[in-house]
Amino acid sequence: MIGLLKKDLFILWQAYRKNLALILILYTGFAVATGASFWVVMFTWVFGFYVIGGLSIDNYVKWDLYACGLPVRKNQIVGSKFILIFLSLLSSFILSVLICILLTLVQHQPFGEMLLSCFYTSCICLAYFGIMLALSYQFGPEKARGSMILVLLAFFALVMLAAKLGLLDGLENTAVTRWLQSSAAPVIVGLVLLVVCGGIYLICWAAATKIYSKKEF
Amino acid sequence: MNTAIHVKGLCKQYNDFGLNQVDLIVPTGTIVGFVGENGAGKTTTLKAILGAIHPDSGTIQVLGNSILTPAEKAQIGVVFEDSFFYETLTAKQINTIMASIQPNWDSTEFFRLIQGFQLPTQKTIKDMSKGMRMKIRLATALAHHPKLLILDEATNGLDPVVRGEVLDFLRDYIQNETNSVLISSHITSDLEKIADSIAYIHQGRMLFQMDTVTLLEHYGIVRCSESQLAQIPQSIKVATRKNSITCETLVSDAAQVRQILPDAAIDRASIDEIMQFYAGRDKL
Repeated sequence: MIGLLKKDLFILWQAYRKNLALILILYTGFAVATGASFWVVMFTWVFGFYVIGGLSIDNYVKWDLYACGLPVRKNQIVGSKFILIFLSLLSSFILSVLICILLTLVQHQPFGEMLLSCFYTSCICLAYFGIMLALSYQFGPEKARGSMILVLLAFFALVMLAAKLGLLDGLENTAVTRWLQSSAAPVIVGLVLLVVCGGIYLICWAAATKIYSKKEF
Repeated sequence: MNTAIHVKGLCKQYNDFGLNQVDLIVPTGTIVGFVGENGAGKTTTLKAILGAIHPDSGTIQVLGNSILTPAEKAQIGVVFEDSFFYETLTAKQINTIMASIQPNWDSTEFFRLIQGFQLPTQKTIKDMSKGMRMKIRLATALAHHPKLLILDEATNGLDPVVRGEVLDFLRDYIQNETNSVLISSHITSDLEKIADSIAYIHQGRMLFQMDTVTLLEHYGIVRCSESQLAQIPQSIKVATRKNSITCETLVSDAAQVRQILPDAAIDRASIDEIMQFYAGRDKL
C-alpha cells in the first residue's frame, strides 16, 4: 500500500508541481487582493481533481494490468487511491487554514467563518471525490468526470428553476432556516456534514473495491 | 518434472474472439517460447495466468498454486510490452516504489542490473530509448529474484544488439534450473535460439507445444509434384501451397516423408514458416 502511495505521489508531484505552485500564488494573491475567502476553498477542489487525474495516467500506461503481476491485492490498489484523496484533502485543508490565518492577520477577516467554509468544502469534496472515484472505476475517469459535471449542473439548474418558479419562497421562515441562524448551528451542521460525507465516502470506497475486484484488464 | 505454469483447458469467450481449450506447460528450469499471430490469444493467455482476466473454464496453476496471493506473486517477474510505470519516473524512484511493494526487493541487485544494462538512474523513462525502456522493465522484473519470468513481446522493436543482450540474460537466468521463463514474441528466430520448447497458439487454440529441437527436426517443407503429394499420409500434412509447377507442403514428420519420397526436396522448416503454413491453412 505504501509503495502504491509513493508511486502516485511521485507521478502527481512530477505532473502537477508547477500548476500547484502557480495556483498557490495565484489563489492566495486573489484572496488577499479581493478579501474573498472563496479562493482559499478552491485549493481543495483542485487537489482532488489532481488525484483523479492520476487515474487517467494509470489508464494511459495500463498500470492495472502491470499491477496484476505485483504482490498487491486489488483492494489495496483501490484503497491507496481513497487514502490519497483523503490525504490530499487533508493537506489542502491545512493549507487553506494557514491562508485563512494570513487573511485574518492582513485583512482582519473573520477567521471562524472562513475556517467553517474550508471545513464544509473539504467534507463536500470528500463525498464528491469518493463518488468520482467509484464512477471512475466503473466507467473510466473521463466519463466519470463528464457525468459528474452534468449531474451537478442539473442539480443547480433545478434549484435555480425552483427559485424562479417561487417554490423556494417562504423557506427563510421555516423552523430549520431559523435554527440555521442560531450560533450553535454552524458547528452542528459541520459535524452532520462530516458524518454524512464521510459515510458517502466509505460507501463509495466499498463500492469501488467491489467494482475493481470484478474488473478485467 | 515440476511445472512453473500449468494451464489446462483454458476457455475465455469474448464477442469476437475466444480462447478455446488452451493447454500450456512451463516446466521448471526451462524457457518456453509462446508464438502466434497478432490477436491469436497470447496476451489473453498471459493475462489469465496472472489473474487479470477471469477464465470461463479451465485450470491454471502457477508455481503450484491455483490462486495467486501476494506471496506467490512476489515470486513472479512480469514484463509487458506496453504496461509499466508512468514515463516521468526515474530508475531511482522505481527502486523506492518497488522496495515498498515487493517484499523480496533487492535494491543492490536492481542497481547492479541497471549498471549492467548501462542505464542512467536519474533519467526519466520518457527520455530513454526503446531498448533502455525495455531493459529497465527487465531490471524491475528481476530485482526481487523471481522464480518465474513472464515476458510479453519483451524483445519487439529492439535492435539486434540489445535483443542479443536480453537473450543472453535469459539464458543466464535459467542456469540455476529453478528459474523458468515464459516468453511471447513475434521474433521467432530469437525463440529458436533460447527456448527449450515452443507453444503455438492460433486463433485462440493451442495447436502444439513441442520441444524446440524436436519441432525443428520433425517439421519439414516438402517440395514435390501433386502425384507425389498424394502419397504423403494426410495425418502428417499440415498445409499445402500449390503453384503451376510444384506443391509446397508443411509436414509434421519429415523423416517419414523421406522414406516415402526419397527423391523429394525436403527443407528444414523454421518456426516462422510453420506459423505461415498453419495460418495459410485457414485461407485455403
